[in-house]
Amino acid sequence: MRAGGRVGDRRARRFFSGADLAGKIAADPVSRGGARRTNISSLDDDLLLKLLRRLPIDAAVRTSVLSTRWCHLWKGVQDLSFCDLVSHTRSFSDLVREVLAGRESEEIRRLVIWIAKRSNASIFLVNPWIRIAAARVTGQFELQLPALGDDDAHGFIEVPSFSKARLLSIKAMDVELRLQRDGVFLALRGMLFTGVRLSQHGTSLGHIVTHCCPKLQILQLSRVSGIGELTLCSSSLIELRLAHVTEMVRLEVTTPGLRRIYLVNCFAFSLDLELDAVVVTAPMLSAVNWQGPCPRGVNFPGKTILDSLCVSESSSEVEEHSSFMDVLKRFRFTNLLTVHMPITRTTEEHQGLIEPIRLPKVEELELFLTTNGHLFAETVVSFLRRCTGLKRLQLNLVYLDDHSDCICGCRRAEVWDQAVYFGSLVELVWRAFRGTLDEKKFLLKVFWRGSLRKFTAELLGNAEQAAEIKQWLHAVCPTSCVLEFHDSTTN
Amino acid sequence: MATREAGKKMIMLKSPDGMEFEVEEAVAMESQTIRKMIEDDCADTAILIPNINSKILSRVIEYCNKHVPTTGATGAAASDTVAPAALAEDLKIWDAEFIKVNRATRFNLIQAASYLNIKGLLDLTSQTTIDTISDNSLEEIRSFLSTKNDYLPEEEQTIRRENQWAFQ
Repeated sequence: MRAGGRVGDRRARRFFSGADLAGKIAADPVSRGGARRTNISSLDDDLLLKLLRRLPIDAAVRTSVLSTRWCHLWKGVQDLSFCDLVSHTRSFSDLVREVLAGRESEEIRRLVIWIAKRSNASIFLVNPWIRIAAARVTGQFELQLPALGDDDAHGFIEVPSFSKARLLSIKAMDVELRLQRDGVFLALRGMLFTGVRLSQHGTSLGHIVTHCCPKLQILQLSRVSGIGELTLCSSSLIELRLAHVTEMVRLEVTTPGLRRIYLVNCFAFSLDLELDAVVVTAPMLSAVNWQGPCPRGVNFPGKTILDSLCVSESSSEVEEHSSFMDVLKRFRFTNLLTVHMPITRTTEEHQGLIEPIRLPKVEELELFLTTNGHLFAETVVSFLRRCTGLKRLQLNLVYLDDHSDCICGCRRAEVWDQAVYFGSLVELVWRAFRGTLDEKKFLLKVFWRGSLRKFTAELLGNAEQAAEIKQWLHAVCPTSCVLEFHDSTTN
Repeated sequence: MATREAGKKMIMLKSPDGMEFEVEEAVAMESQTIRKMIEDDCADTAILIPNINSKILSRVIEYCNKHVPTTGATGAAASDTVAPAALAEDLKIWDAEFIKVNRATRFNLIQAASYLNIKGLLDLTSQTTIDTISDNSLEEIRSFLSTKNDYLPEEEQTIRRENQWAFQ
């Protein structure tokens, strides 16, 4: 390989900067040989199509009269996006109708209809478009509607069979969505519904996922109402994401291939007494992200080991609110544990909120602590006490407001003097390190103990502040510890 | 750091007019086409880049040199770099300067960016063409593209009628 380099040495130009040759080219503005030959006609059709894809659809259609070569070129554009915020020469609905009508027999790889203005959105217009999409779209169909007016209050979006599409995404606020019960979704890999209201309490959705979507890998429901119970059996499903499906009280999932489950703010109304409110039978499951309420009867049969587990506690009121405890105690081991919670206030609160937690065995812990004026060190340390074997800690202090320091006494000297426990910690990553007094004190304790081998700080603030913090860190960091910075400073 | 300097692998690119360019592997891999060749082990000797003359190729390399990410994914050298926002702004200015070329060169660059599959360069070079086609009259577009209208008048009328809405 080097021999090749030597042969070419005489003529080869080294391009470490590229500046030398660039200068010559700038001085020689016309590449004359090319000028005669090169116009757009010398570009091949594939390339012209690439350009056409980037045009608004009406401009692409107009190119058909440029010359005979351009006549059918635009029809090769298989990605159609309509957005009513882009100005067109036509009314939006006419535009969509006419383009779709003009492509009656052709396949559409990707169809996106994005309506932002209420005046352009009507259920009666949208349903025919969905029927056309259902028949022609081979890839992705996305529909997004604004909140609809009263005229559409009793209307509904009807989803027929999408036999060829791979991704179906419908976003509409508080519009009823009716899924055709004997629909066929043979190729569908992803189904994403946002904001819609499902008819029949979600039974049709469960039925369709279980019986009509043999290849479905991702199901995502976000702010979907009308689902009280959801029962899913699917051998293809890999990822289930449910966010703000607040009315849900029961979830039963039997999915041999499921890897990841996200449950964010669901089960707001579930009764504590209900047994088996959530049963997830998924032997391959590796990641659980559970934020918000958690009914008592949670069951992951046969599953105690995970790769990653994320829980969050949104309230600092002690009693009854520690929903994440129920999730935590289901699992015995996870490589990564992520906990979002506020800093706990006093020793009593620790006893109520943190002490009873049985944490799974964990190698890496990521703590997101929302600040509230209290000292965070005690919260961190009480976690570390419970995580024997922890190697890596990522600390994220989330400053919501500027709190003045509390007067509860959590900063009394004795708190710092208590035997602060850092276990087997060898690596500490501090996201958004501000260099506050509390942060510095804590860090000094960790450095002082001497087991830390690497400290990474992501610095906030302006360049001057960052430089100051860097200087301080260099001064206090022991030689046995590697110091690394990630800058996100502004000048 | 020392190992990083020494470990820079060089790739030889050859244009059809016989020029050879020695380029850092990371720079060459801005082109997805070349990246694939390297990954498939087809790059032991010089890589011949067909259809792209040395003038255009050198400009393409100049672009890649500027756009190759400067820090590794680990961010090891991040402490010495400029803030990303300033860097992006700098690149934008550089790009605007880079694209001040005549039409023929621009089409050549589009072609090269497409063949070598360099998305950023294709976006940059084709934007003017796209703007021209979307905003101008048909006659202006034809002249910009050096395309002759070879339709018979009645043929053109038929085409217009087929998609009447687009011409109103």
